[in-house]
Amino acid sequence: MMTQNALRHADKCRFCWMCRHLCPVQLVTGKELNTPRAKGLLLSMNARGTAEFDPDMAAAMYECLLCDACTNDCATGYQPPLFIREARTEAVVNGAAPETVMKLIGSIEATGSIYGAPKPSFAQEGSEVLVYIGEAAACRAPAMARSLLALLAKAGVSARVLEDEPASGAMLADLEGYTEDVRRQAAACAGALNAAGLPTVVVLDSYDAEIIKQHYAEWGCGIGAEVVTATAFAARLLADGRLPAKPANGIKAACHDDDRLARSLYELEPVRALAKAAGYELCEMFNHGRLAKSCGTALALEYMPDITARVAAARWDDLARTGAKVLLTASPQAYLCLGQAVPEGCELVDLFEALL
Amino acid sequence: MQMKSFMPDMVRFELEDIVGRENVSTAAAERKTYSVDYFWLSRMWQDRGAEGPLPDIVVRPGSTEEVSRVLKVANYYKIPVHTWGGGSGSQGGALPMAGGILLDMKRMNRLIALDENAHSITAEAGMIFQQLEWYANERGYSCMHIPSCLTCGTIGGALGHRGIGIFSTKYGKIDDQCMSMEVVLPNGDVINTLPVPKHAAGPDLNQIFIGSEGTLGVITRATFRLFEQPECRKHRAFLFPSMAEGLAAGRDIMQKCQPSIMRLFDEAETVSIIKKIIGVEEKGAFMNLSLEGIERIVDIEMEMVLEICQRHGARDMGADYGEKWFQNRITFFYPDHIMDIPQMFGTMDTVADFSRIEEIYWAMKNAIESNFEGVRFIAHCSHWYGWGTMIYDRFIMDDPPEDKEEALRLHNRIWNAGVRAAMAHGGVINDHHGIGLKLSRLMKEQYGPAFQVMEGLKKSLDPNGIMNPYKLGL
Amino acid sequence: MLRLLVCLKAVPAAGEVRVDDEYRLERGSAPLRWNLADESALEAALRLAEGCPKTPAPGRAEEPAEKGRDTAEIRPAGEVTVLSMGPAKLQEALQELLGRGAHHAALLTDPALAGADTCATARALAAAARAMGPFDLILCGRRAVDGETGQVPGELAAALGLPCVTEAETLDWAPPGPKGEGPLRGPATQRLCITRRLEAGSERLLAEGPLVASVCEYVYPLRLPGIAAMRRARNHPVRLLTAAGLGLSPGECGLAGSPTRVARLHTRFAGRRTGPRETDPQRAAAALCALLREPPRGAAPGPGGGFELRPFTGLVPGPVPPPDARAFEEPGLPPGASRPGLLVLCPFGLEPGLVQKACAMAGRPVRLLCPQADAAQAAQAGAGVIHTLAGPPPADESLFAGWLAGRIQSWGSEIVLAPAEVKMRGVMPQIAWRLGAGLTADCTALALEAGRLVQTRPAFGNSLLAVIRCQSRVQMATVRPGTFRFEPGAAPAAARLVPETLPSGPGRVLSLGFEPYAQGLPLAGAQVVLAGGLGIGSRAGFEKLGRLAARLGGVAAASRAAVDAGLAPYRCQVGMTGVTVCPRLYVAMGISGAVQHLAGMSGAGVVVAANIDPKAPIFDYADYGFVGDWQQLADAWLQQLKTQPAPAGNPKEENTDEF
Repeated sequence: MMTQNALRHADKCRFCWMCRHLCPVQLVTGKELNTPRAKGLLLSMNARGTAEFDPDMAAAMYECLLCDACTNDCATGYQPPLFIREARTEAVVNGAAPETVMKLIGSIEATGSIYGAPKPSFAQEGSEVLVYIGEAAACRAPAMARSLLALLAKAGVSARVLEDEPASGAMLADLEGYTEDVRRQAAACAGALNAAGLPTVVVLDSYDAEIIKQHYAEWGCGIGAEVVTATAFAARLLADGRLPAKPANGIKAACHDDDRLARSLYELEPVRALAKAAGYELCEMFNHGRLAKSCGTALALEYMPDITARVAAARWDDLARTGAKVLLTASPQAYLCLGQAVPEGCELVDLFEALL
Repeated sequence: MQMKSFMPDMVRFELEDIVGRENVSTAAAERKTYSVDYFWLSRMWQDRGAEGPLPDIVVRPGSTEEVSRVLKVANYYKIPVHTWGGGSGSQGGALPMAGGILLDMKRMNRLIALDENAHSITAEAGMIFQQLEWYANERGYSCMHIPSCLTCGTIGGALGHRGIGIFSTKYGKIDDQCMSMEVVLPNGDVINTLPVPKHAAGPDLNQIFIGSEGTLGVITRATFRLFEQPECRKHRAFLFPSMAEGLAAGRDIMQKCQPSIMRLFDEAETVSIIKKIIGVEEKGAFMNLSLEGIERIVDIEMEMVLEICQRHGARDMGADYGEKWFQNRITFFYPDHIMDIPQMFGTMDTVADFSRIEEIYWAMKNAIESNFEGVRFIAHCSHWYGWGTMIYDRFIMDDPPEDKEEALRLHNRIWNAGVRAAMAHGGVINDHHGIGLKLSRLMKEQYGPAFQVMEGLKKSLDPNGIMNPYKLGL
Repeated sequence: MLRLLVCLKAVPAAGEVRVDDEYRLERGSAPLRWNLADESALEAALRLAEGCPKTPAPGRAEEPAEKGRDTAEIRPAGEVTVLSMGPAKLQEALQELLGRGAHHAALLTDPALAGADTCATARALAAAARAMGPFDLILCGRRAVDGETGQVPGELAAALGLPCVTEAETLDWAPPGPKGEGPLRGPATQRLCITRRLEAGSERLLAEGPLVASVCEYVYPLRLPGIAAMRRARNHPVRLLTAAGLGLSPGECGLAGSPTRVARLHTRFAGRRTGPRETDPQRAAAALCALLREPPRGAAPGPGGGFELRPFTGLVPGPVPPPDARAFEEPGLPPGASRPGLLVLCPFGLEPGLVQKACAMAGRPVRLLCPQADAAQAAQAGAGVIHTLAGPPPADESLFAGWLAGRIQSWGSEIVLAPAEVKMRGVMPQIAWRLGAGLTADCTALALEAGRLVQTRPAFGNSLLAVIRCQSRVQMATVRPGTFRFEPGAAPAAARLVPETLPSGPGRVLSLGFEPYAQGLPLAGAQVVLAGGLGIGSRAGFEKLGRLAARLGGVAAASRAAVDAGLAPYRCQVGMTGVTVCPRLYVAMGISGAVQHLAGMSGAGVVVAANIDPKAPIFDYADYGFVGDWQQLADAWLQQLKTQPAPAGNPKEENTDEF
């Protein structure tokens, strides 16, 4: 059952018209259901007994990237992802969640990851920083994991990667809300990170970084080390002169700001610093920075691949209107999703690789 | 005639055949999201735990051709069709009050063309207006149609109810800004109005479909004017001794120049605004206005405005309020800033010429405040013309009846009282929110014998009466 | 099977309270949520029920259990029952707690219980505990964010005849001791190691159950709902309890059963202030140094030549509540008793200012209990009869309270005052229950009117000022330390000293040691507070803030956001769920100004804000604002202070809310 707080947010969102233009899923499906307001309205109706929390309502709650475009827009501070996540918890508890979703939860229970198979290991010894690769990069964007590690080596940073990286809880949190199972994953992950005893933890995937930085402490799983995103760390290496910049290559390109970096962690400069250091001539897509349109998530690609591919294609359309043909990213999930829809003549660039 | 047994599935199959199976739905969760728009009664109904108007089937067309084929099917089976863009209408115009088909236009959201030579932009009608505006902004232009529902309403919706934006005093209403449209008639024929809005080729087809609120066909594509972004925008505020002086000043200003924004508040609203600005209560009529364009011209216009306002006894309140209002203009619409259930409220906007507008204001205020206890009335004039201005007047009741039928009855009585008072003094039933369901019953009173022209159009274009029944008085 | 009970209170959500146009806190604007400390109590109970052998230090992840340890004797399985008192709509919220792992839930809901003060609340909770019990351990939150009395745990314990430990930071099952030996001989499964948070440090205790403990916020963040637990909770009804059902008579419940009443409630003006804003760090630092030097209008120069600013008292009298239909009866005073016997209890350390105030109110020297070492100073303060303690009071406060209650009865005192330090705030409720007395906590003003105390105390994070009157024969109050300043004056008449003998026997709580905190001055009474928010950015930043604070003779503090982010420890937190402060000078660095923080500091004399965001709400509550990087301001200020004499520490100034 939903908390009073979530229902309050739902009641405030149900009649509001302000964030309807931003939902990237709605923009590709055209469905009224894919607006934050529709989800709030349905939950409000459910609370008043005029709508049943049936599998269709549950499915609607999962047709969302949890990208926070709506949260970022609300001047008052209401947060649709708050009630959407709780609705997902409700769906799982009720057994109403879509089968595709339950399969992924089952996979996490069995193997710790949504991908089922054991995670490829990037284990290496090191003494300066601990690098946390994350399951999305390890299983679906390993090239970016390798390029980050190579870049750190180039900068002379002695980086350690754990043999057995526990899941951060980010995937499970998006699948079933913030539950005790998620907190236990977080506790295990924090335990492993703390046990490594290194002063800095560099997190490759911003989705992992967000949950570690913004939730772990509140759940009693605080990290003793400084937690920094890979983009911010690489930007720091550039600023400190441990990484050389590349000469200008005259190629016009735009950076994609991923949802968590831009809207949850407020990190807009580092990825641009990396892009400039890689020699690109930067332009901006119209919706960039905190207004950046999501290109999809690794999780969404697993359970709603068609919609996610279309969302990624829409982001390439945004690039096309700038006249540039190169899209830059340092986010493994963005790299994965954008890679599903690269148009003819365009190029998707891994910024860590570009700096090697 | 009734549909028995698996007949509805047969109809559904035909629709799936047109738009694709994934774009047709009878799921309860999906249908319920269309039972509430911004019409107070639909919201109150939901809030009181009652079931709202549900369509039988939701259809999402992806092209003009699909719309045409859907309408043909609807006509054959005589199934009502309700066209839905963003669902931000305040008059209930998009609500599926007759069940049937709910045509959600939002898949049709492509940009077709942006012509910098002709200063025009063309897009499909299911595009949310903010998207259109952003496409224009990307190239340094603006459509200059900035209503409060910008982020929700679609192009089709703006045209359907003859909408207005905050800059209309300078840049016109949507009906001034629309150059050409593509419309699918109820019989499925796809028509285009003439490519440009000015000509001598008979009555203006644009103006027939703009404001038709989905009763005469489905708008599928439209072309709008593009404006260059102004070089500067300057704000000023004034305190007039009373509304009469403010109206007179506005009238005189409109003869000399066109502010982009000019908002004159009545005494009731002025009290709370002034207190926030200078910390004390003072009586009068507050006005804030904005001038924009080439800076040299704007400066001259501002001089003229200052002179006119001074002549009408205004006190110059400086530029701060206007700037602050402009910066925060969007914040007003978010939850906790905007009025919401449990209050009962409505905007009875009307428009008239300068000779009648003040009389209308007092008549409406009197009609509301003396006949309904616990209801207050505030107003401001926010869109001006050479011949007159509109009043954006609101009634607000903090504790409406808990019983939904009582609340509905009271709500409609208040509307009748206010709107009839306006009409009795030469005002018009509505300025820019449309008629929808809310004012449908009063259309005949407004038009008298002239209504047969619209009825004739309706009968001829939609003989089966399937297009948005019960709306617009048609 | 061990049975644990957790008592929770639903309070306005501190983080969501709004301010109205007049910048006053709108108490009704926030939705209800469980009091944060009560949630901690629940988590502590759940862990104890699961029998976790170790409690992780706050803010660090759990360490994996040690292998190969015989845990059978210290891993009792247990069941947790959650109990609350309030309107019927709390049922859903209690069920939500079942989804977090509680095993049973009960709600005391009855209109007859409404309006209860802490005594009536404790009585009702005790009746419920008896009906559903017996319980091996009862946990509560240490203090509710609205009432802020912290009295219910002690009164509840006394009602049930159990020992009570307040302000518990960590609770663990104690490893079994040698059987039959040592002062605590109870079965191993009912012994707890508790660390208790005192003002200046942490005390380690060994306690024998069954007992009541009150738990501090933040140490045990409440676990999240679990899928399996939520499924179980669906079908698990919340037990509803009524007053009659528990055998409580109407005179024992709610308002009728409350010895203390709120006579008036004032909304304290939250403190909209305006002041100059500066963007140049050097100029700002110079202005702040000047601010510290000049005494403002009307203030007396104080010792040490430092700044002297009167506390902010922007009080807006609230509406007088309509007269209560049930008459507020004051018992008739015995003849010649216009001057009731007044007693001041300072067993843990003398507060001469309080003693002096008590004498002034009584119009004659008062009776006092204090350590022997303080007897001379007590006489200077005006005490007439001084009962001295040769040694420290027992660690078992229920034992101490029982003994004190007996002494008080024998002395016939009708008004009992004590300083509102942690230990006395734990002892006084247990005395009050035994004497059937009304108790008011943490008063900031006191007066005597026709033999009755008029007590004023802040509530809801300083945003409300309640005037309390008491209708029981014995009236008790704790007074916020530092409220009354001791004025050295004429030598009073000689006092009579009476040595007292503390009760023998260890009771059921044993002290194992005390560890003082690394940080010097406690936050609560500080007169200069430098608080850092998320904008400080790092722990190193907080260290710099600490240096600046020390240079100013003050204490460093933190906003909730900074504490949540792990930048500062919880005991530095200012705000509704932390400490409320009334310093002379409050400097907010990198704090945006969330309402619940403002409530915690709005009583400050002068507020200075530094933030990089010119639109940060904190600027509306600051007398002086610096818009820019706080580090630059701190550096400039430190540099300019080098040329100034250091202030002479933190003078304890009179800080009363008399009006």
